[in-house]
Amino acid sequence: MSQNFLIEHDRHWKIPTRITVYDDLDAANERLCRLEDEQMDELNACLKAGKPVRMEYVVLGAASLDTIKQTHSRYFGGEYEVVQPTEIHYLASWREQQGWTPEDKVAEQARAFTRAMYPERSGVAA
Amino acid sequence: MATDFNDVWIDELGARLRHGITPDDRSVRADYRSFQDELDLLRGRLVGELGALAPDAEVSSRTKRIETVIAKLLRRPDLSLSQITDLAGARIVVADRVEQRAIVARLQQIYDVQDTDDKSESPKSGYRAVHLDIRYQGRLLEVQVQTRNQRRWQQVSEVAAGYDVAIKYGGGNPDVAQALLELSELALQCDRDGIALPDDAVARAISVIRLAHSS
Repeated sequence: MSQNFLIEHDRHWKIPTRITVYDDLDAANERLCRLEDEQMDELNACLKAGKPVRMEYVVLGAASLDTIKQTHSRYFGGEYEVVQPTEIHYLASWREQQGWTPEDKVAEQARAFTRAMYPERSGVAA
Repeated sequence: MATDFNDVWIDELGARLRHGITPDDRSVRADYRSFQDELDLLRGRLVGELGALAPDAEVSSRTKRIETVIAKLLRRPDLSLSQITDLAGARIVVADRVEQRAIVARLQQIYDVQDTDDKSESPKSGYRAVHLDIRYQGRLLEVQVQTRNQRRWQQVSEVAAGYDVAIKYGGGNPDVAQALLELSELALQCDRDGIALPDDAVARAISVIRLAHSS
């Protein structure tokens, strides 16, 4: 059984890495395109300046989450959350209500929310 | 997917990406990512075929991130997109050099391997792995085979690249570059001795990186 893992990774480690698990590759790629659209201006500016963009988005294919923890361990060096595609809208609206921006204070709120709602799915990699 | 992935199509895509991404190229990006279909097939085969040689091998696949594709095109104006061999690839992480050699030999035996680049003993800016370019179902896919120690070194290197991507190409902060080279040598020695890269050595390298970029 193959799964597709959409990774949303903050290179500054200010917000937890989010891993959304998709059975359908097209759905994962559709979401990936949306995320790229959202960061388009920043991405183009960073490319022009020769700097890495802050948020990394990528879709990985693997048999399980444990596999990508081995092959792409750098995404698991801090806190992370594993969500299903159906949960994204709920999480997004919660973040909007909190005035979510990728800054320290709000990132801490997001981490607290994840810990409270999904204790079994969030953690710090060993 | 109906798109014909010949080199002309791929190079036209490259010419567009060289100018950055725009809202209009969404379908182009989606087409580019359909490489993943072949990757999924290849990954499934790899897991089945390599299981006996390396029972604990971990195999994943990905299409190259759009950011790194464009960055490479900008860095290398002479390069066309069809010449980039790692647009789509699989990564295999194995226990040690013995498994790594066995798997590389097996891949060379059963696939149409166009090129093998062994960076295990001769690293590039500290990076060690064996890369094989495999022609699979008409597409060129890259398979990276790494030991756990080589993978762990790369994890540290990527922390440094998050601050300054030049470190991956021989530039960047000299202290960071030196720390990564020393850790890479240690990873090689540990692989030869059959032991894991020590945690304290990894922690030291990460400290150097954080210190160098703390201001």
